[in-house]
Amino acid sequence: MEHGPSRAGWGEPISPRHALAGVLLVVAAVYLPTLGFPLVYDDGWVLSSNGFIRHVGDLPLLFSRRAVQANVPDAFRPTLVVFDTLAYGLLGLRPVFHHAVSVGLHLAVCLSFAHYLEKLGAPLALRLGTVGIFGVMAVHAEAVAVISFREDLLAAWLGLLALNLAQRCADGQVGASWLVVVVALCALASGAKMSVATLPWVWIVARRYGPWRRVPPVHDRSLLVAGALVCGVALAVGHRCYLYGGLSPYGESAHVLSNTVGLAPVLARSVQIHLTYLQQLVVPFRLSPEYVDRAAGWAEVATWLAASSLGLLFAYGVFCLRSDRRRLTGFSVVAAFILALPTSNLFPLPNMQADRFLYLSSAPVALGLAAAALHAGRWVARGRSYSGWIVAPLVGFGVVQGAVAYATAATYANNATLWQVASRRAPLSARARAMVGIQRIIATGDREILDAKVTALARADCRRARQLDPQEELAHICLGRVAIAQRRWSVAHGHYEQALRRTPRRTDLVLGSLTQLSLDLPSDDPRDRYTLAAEYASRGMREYPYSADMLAAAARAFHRTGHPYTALVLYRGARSMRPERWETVAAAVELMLDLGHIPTAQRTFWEQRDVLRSAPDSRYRAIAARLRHAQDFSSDSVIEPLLVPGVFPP
Amino acid sequence: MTRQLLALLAIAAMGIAVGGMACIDTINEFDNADEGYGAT
Repeated sequence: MEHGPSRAGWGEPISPRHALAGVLLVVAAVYLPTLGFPLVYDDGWVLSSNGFIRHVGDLPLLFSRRAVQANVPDAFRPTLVVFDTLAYGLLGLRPVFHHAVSVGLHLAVCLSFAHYLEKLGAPLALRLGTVGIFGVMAVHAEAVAVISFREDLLAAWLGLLALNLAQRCADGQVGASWLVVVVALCALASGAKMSVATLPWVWIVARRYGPWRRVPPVHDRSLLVAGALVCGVALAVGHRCYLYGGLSPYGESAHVLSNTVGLAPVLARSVQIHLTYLQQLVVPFRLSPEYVDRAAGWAEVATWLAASSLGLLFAYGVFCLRSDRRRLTGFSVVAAFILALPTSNLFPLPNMQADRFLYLSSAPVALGLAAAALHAGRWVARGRSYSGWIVAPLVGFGVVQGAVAYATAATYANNATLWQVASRRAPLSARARAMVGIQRIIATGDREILDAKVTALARADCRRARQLDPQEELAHICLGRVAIAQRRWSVAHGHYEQALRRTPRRTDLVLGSLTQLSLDLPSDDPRDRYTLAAEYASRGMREYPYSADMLAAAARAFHRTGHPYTALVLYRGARSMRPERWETVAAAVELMLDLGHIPTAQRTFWEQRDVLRSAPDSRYRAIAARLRHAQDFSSDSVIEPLLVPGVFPP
Repeated sequence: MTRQLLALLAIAAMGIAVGGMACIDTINEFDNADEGYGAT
């Protein structure tokens, strides 16, 4: 940034650093309420029950195919997994800290973007306006408010750091040895999320067709630096190809629509989606946490309209790049198109549309919108005595975007709200409807039997989800949970088996449930049930060695079938994968009581009392009462618990 | 000038807060459980 005072457009000097700090404060204020939000959406899969991030020593596994075999969550995004591991190690599982990290990352992206614009030669007012608009854009609410979507923020931040350093290298401000760091930053960014894979091309376009005149460097290393940026992306692509034998980590999954209907109908729909994206960026309404994937035809009017609109816009952008007067417009348009490529459905994605996909590609759009708003401001201020009118359209636009961002972020305040909004905005989404049903059951807490009204509502949601998409595994999981709540074990088992048949991904919770349910099936010979449960447990532990929930389910099954010492080992393993899970600790205390090791049970209860306090009151009191009762009949002395170790050694 | 900018930013922040609260989609909550199956 400039070190001296500059002029922002209405007369008097202003400190660039103070001004930028002020803008960033407003951006932070928009997302301040998210600090009070719990873990939602994929946070359970990525953080709470992800045992891999609790085992720092296993991180080298990310560079081998064993990470894929072990179903390590997000194994194809090694930078993100390392970041999550560090974040968990430093901050634990308190959502407030992780939300603060997300907001911090968003601010870091804004700051790096401001630095990059400065290096390109953008004037201060435009820099501040662009960063302000980018910071409060409503489409960013999902990426900032959901902890597990910080992959977009992390990738964008590392990518912009790479561009900033690349710019300095190309201008000869730092030595050529820094190119190694450029390669590393670009590889790390792409390793966080491949959505930044086209960022080097934005740098190349900016270098060649930069909107602002710059003094040509004495030693221009543009070619070398461009090579370094591309090389960084190639490293990440190479890593992914090594892990999966191709670019896509999703394989032949039925969740990727192009795997079932082919690429052409998906691209036809994608063109329509991108016109919607443009509307959502400029006029922020119809934002949603959920969109329904569907194919479209190239002969549809909507496809033609969208394709011709976007084609004309791109052609106009290319034309403007060649004109000195309109180069800023050209750069904004062409850069946005380049950055939209990775999420344009040319490459397989399990969701065709999502607000978070717009995170990085909205940066050049923010630049164009800020420039347009300032241009409009100059027109508004013409003939007026107070020059402050120049920023009026910019501030007005920012307030609208920020207000919608603030309101949209509230959608992610908890899972119940999130999925209800999702179901309302995407009424044809089987996933959203099934999740509403599941949330209804979760909301009943520790009640043993659901009341009839809740059961009926939840079952209606599950059936509607199954009707919307018979292949949606969550519809069967939903029906399975309703059946569990009604203690109809055979029905529940059947639904979970249906769910297992429908998805090869993230089946640890399903396998864990099947392990438990198998023990409750009616059968003449209990050994049949034991064998079935053991098969599911063995498969689950083999396929998901880092799933705390799977290990805990297997432990419980061995506990119930009279294999206490196998259960003990598994309880210990499950706790090491997710120390915050009270169910594992409670089950281990009960195991010790079942074995008659009362001092060990008491010691474990005492050591783990903070974890156990997360349990429902009735459950906590029941365990405490059972301990007291056991003590009454025990011949052990009262100081015995102080002399024996607990189940989980420190 | 810095004071003017700060005043402008404060007004913008207040506008965002008031507008944001007015735009929030009111939903009856079931609970705040953190359990959830993923979307991606």
